[in-house]
Amino acid sequence: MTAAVAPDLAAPVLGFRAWRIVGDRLMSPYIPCRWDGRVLHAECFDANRRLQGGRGWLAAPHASPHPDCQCGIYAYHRPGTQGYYGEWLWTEGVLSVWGRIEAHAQGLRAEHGGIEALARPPRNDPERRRAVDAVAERLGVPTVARPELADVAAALGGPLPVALRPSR
Amino acid sequence: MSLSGPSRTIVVEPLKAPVKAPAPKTVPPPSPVKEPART
Repeated sequence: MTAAVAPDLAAPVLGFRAWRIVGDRLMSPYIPCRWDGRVLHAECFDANRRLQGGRGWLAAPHASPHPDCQCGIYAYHRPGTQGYYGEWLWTEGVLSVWGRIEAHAQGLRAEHGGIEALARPPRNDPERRRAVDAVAERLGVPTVARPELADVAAALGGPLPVALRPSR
Repeated sequence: MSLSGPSRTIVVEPLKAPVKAPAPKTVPPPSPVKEPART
């Protein structure tokens, strides 16, 4: 519950991340989590805890994200941290995050996340372009050229200030 | 996707939609002035 907690930052925080595209739905790249809408609220599923033999995942149920777990909605402070997901259709985008945040040096794990924009694939990748357009239309979010993702995030408030990130 | 190293817990407010200017209040038209009754 964060409703009664004074925020450390009364300003929007934006991050960058990628998704796999399955049908007209976005999926988290590494865990079986489907984004049915524009907004997702973090949960630490039992299936997550079985990943990697359970290493790094808390066994007991807990609110997500937890500092001692790997759960939460992931986003990076900079775009383009990873841009290829094998044979999957995929896209990158801008995510606004709020609630409790576990801030890391390179990115963050959030309690709540909302998709603000998706990157439009290049014309020479028509299958992926069609897939992203369909997802964006269904979610009601804009598509922008990939180099513009940082500008979109900056216009909405920018990434987590460096002063609030832990040092490596 | 993984994030290594220590983390710092912070609480962040949600991104708010642009605030719309409040609609001007409707001022009721003045009531017609009645002439005093002539006696």
